[in-house]
Amino acid sequence: MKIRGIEVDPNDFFAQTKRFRVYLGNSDKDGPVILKVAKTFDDNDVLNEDAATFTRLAANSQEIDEYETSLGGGNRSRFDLLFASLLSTFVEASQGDRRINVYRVPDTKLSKLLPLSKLKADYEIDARSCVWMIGRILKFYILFEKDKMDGKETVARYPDFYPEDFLIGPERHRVIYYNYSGGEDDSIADGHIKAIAKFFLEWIVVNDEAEQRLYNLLKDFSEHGRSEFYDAHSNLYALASELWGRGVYYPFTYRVRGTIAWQKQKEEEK
Amino acid sequence: MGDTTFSKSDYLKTREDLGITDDRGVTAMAELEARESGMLNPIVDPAINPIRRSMIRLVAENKHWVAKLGCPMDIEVSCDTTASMQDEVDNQMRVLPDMYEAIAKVLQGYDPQLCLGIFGDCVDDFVLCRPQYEMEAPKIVRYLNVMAPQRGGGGNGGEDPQYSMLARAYLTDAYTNNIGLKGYHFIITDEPCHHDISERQIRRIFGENIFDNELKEMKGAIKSIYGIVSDLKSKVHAFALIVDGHYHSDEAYESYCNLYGRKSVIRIDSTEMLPTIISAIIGLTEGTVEITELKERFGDDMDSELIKQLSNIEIGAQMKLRHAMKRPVPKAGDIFAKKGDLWPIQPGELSEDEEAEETVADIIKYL
Repeated sequence: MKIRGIEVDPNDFFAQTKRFRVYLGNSDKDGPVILKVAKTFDDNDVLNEDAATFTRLAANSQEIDEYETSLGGGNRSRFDLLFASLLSTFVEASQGDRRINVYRVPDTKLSKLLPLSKLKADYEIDARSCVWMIGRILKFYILFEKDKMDGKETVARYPDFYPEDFLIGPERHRVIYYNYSGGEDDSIADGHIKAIAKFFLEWIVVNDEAEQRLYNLLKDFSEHGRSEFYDAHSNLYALASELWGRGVYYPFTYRVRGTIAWQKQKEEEK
Repeated sequence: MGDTTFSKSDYLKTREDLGITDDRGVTAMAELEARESGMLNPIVDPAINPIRRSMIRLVAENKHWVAKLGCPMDIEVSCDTTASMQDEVDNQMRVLPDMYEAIAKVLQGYDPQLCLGIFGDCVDDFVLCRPQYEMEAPKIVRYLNVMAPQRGGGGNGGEDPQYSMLARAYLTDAYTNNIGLKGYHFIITDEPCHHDISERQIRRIFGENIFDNELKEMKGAIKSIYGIVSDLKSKVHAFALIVDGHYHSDEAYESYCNLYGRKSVIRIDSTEMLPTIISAIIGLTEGTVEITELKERFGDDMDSELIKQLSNIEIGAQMKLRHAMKRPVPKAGDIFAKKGDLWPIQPGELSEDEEAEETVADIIKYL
C-alpha cells in the first residue's frame, strides 16, 4: 500500500514494541525509509516523544556542525551520522488518526544494518571489535549533554540505553540510533555508562593482553561509571590509540553462534 | 457581528480614529487617567463584570441560528508590564495584525477570540488588566489603548501573574471547556512568579463582592497556587514564555518549570516573536503543524534552539481531546436550534418551530 508517497507492506513489519510497529518502506522522494506506526490513537504519545527526541538530536548536531564549519578546516565531528534522520511525522486519517514517523538512515544501506541486540544474540565478537561500537554510542550520548554544556539546561536528560534502539552496520562501522524507547534520566551519565559497559562485557571475547586491558577498562566503566559521556569517550579512545594506534581500521571480527565450528571451539577453550 | 473577524484595515482605521499615530506610548493617556482617577477603564477592569466569556457566535438565519465562523477558540495572553517589560502593550499593539493572522492560519475552521491582558505586582496600584475575549480589530485596539501598565514591580524578586491564572481558571465562561476542549493561556514574563494568593488581593482585584458571587465556593477556602495551576490546566493549554537575557530570567525559567512543568515553559529572545511562538505552540498542540514543518512554516524566526524547545511541549494535546469528544467540533455552517444550545442540530433534527430572532439580551453586555 502507499501512504503519502511511501510504498510499504502492512504485513511485513521489521520490529514491534508494545505501542508501535516498525516497517521498512520505499519513498518516491527519499528512497528506503523506516516507518514507525502507532498501534492505536492512544499510542501516538510515544511517537510524539520519539519525534521530539530526534528533533533535538538533529538540532544539536546541526549547531555543532555549524560551529565546527565556522572554525574552518575539514575536520568535522559528523554527529549526524549517529542517528536516523526524522523526515516527517504526521497523523494519518486513513490509518485511524495514528501517528507515523518516517526516517532515513544516513550514509548507508538499510539492508546492511542489524539491531545491536540481534548482533549480540547471533554473533560472538573479539574485544577489539567493540571499540568503534562503544565509541560511537558514547559519542551519540554526548549530543544530549550539549544543552547543559551551553548553559541552556541545568541537567542533561539521557534516554535509557536499550540495545534494540541501535542499528549496526559492521562493514562500515556504522552505529545508528533509530528508536526512542522512552525512559529518561536526568541524573549524571554514570548509570548509562555502566549499562553500556556491562552489555559489551557480556559479549566480547578476550584473545590477548591488549584486549585484556580494554576489558579491564570496560570493567572499570561498569563498576564506577564516569560523570560524563565525554570523559568515557576520551578514556576509551586514549587506550585504543595506545594499544592499536589512531585511525586504524579493524574489520569486524566475529564467530557465528550456534554453528558446529563455534561449538567445537568453545569446547576446546574450556 | 456574528460573522466578522479581525481585519488589518479595521485595525488601521481604529488606530487612526483613536489618534494612535505612534508605536510608542499607546497607553499614555490611559495611564494618566488611571493615576488621576484611581480607577482602571471599565473595559479592562477585572472587577467590572468579572466573568470573561468566549462564546460561539450565532447568526439568526431563517428559523434557526447558524455558526458562521465555527467553534470559538479562546486565547488569553497575560503579559508582564513591570520594569524591563513595561513597553509590552506598545509591542502587542504593533504586532497585533501579525499575531491574529498567524493564529488564524493554524486554527483554520475556528473563530479565534483574543483576551490580551497585562499584570504587574501587588505593590503596584493595579495588579491586573483583563479585557473580554474579542474577535474584531476595533474592540481589541480599543482595549489595548486603555490598559494601564504600572511599569513598577517593586523589585521584590517576582511578579503576580497568579491572579491572571485564577481569573482564567474560575472567572471565565469558555465554549471550548463546555464541549470538552481547552483554550490557551500564555504568561509572558521575565520574573519569577510569587506564590501568595490572598483573599484581600482577590477582593482588591476582582471586587469586594467577589466571594459572595462569582467565587462563592472559594470563600474561606482559597487554593494554593499549585491548586490553581492544576485547575487552570484543566481548562487551558497553559504556557509560560520567559524573556531571556534579563536580570532574573534564569530564576523565572526555574520558577515556571516548577509551577507548570518543563514541557510548558519556553525561553524566548524577545516579545517581537510572540506571533510566531504563540501560533507555533497552538499549531503543534492542535496538530495542524508538525515538528518537522516548523522551519518551513515559520522561516528564519524558527532557529534550532526554539525548535528544540517546541519539540518538548505536549504535541497534539488538543487532538487527544477532540478524539475523546462524543460529537465532532462544531464547524462553520452548523445550525443550532436556539442560542445557548451547546451542540448544533444533528442531521434530521431540523424543525419548523418559531423563528430565531436576535434580541438585545443576546448580545453580551460589556462596557
